[in-house]
Amino acid sequence: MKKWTWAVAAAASALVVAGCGGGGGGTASTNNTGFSQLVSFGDSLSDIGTYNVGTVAAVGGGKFTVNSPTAKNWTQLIAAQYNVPTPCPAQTGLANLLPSLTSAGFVGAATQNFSSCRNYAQGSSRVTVQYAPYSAAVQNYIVGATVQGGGTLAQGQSAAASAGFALGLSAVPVVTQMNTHLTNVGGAYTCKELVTIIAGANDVFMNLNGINAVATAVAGPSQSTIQGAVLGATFAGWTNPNQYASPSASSVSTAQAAAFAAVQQAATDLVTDIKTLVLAKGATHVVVGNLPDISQTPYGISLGAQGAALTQQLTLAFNSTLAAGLNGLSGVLLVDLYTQGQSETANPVQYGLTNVTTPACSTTSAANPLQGSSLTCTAASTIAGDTSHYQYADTVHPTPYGYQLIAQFMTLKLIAAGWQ
Amino acid sequence: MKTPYSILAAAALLTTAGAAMAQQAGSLSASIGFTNLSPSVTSGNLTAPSLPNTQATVNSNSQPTGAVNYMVTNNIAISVPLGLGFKHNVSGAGAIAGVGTIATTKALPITLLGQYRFMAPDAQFRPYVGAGVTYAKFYDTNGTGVLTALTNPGGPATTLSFQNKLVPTIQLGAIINFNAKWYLDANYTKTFLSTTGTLSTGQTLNMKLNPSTITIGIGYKF
Repeated sequence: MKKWTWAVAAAASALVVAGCGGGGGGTASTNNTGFSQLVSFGDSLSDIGTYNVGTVAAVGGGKFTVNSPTAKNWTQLIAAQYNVPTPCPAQTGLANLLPSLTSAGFVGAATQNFSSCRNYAQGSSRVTVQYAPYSAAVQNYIVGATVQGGGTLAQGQSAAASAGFALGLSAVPVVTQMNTHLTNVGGAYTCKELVTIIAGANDVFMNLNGINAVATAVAGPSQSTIQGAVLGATFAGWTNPNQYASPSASSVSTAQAAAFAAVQQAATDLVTDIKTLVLAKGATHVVVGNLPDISQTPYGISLGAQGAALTQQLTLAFNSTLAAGLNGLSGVLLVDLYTQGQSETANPVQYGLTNVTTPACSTTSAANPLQGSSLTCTAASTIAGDTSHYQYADTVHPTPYGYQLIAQFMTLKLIAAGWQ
Repeated sequence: MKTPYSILAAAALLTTAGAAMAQQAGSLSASIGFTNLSPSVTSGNLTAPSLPNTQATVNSNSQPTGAVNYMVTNNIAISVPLGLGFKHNVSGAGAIAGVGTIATTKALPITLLGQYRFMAPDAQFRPYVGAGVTYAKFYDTNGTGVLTALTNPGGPATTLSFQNKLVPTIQLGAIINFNAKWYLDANYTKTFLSTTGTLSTGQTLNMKLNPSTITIGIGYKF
């Protein structure tokens, strides 16, 4: 009987190896892989059409780039390269448009879930906190009955607009995305998935918004600036946001300390989520991109030298916590998009980039109902001239060429790691 | 200091082993053996758009080869090495080191060498020097999935080709005559070859290959 036990154990382990083994490189155009599918979590950098409904779809938008029928997100390029099924968004919808938008004729759509689709990334998603840029959570909080510090609905809407473009994005947090996937697949990975994760930029944005709101209130206290400071602190996710209702000279440094703690917490949360909701559930190939240098985006540049420096420090705080947390984890490949993006900015010609500071999408084009936003930006609403090799579509998102550069760098690292 | 004596002794032994070796004017000989072709790669950088310092290297390859030699005079020979081509893997280097094979290619060096053979035609040991030209022909060049992944992920397969070149070759070698008909030929060549790989994406990669060969063959004089 003992012999049998050994034989069974050996057979079982052989099966596991066969089931989880990577593939070798082929000579075809695609990589010959053992991957069965791509599973993507994250934010707009990986979103392939969560909000591609209603007016967004009607104008030919849907992805955070210069949209066109051929414009692809980097996750789509990787899926094609690895010859796994074409990804589709696990959820679609724009169900929380503000009255100001709907009255202007902007049409949304009810939320729909697609339990067989494996791209869970949504524009604006944060790691854990629901209060994301342009999110329904922000809007509902302000427009609902609990406008912090008093005020009217109209003031709330204007505060929502200043806290982020009021669009009502679902922006499901990454932790929820991961849990939804587990629900969809019955609680476990097959170990044949290539999992991609990029998240954290929206945590940096909301924390920057919080700092800015507090700084504005300190510089010129008024009902609206104080309301903005309390809301900014709330949306950043800081503890005791009401302390900013009575701003003092030290409030800005208090806010900055809270912001650094918050982005580090976001990175820590992401590490924990990757460990408990991805790796512990059987995923064996998880590629994580860190945050590109947000201070080098048109948005970062627009903040001025001091604001850009703060942005860079917050980005680095997130990245270093992420790197430390993922260090040595088997099955995780951390790809340094931060350094790579800086290299692209420093050597645009080398990367075939013609512009690394100007958004390709026009902020005034009538063809874009959300002027300047890449979500509804198409070839019909770019600025004049050839923008095909610009790095940025809007103030933070890459053009299709920018996404191709991300895909190239990702595949390089995947291949070098033997994940091919 | 013992070594020079033993070499001398071996040489003496060889020179006394036989007589009437003949590679005099007008004689034709042929050999078959093995050649190891080993590139000494200095890679340029793949042109934009690319990661800075995207480079490549090429591995060595051994193939059975032959050579046909004609003695123009007692000391001057014309030698034509023959082979069916060498298979090489082109691998990532520099910024893309570790990605493995990005392409495979076959190289056929078509070489014509003039040699000066020292010593008398019937000497047992005839060192020689040679110089000539090589036409390096690259064929069956195929990009791998890795090449596509690095240059155009998710897009059409990236193909590439290497430029064929006519370049100089120099040679050092020696003949050891066993008897009037059979001999051993060992030689080393260095070819000063640079080529340019051109990708279907329009990018180019200059590579100094400067291959050296070591050939050992058994020959027969007709």
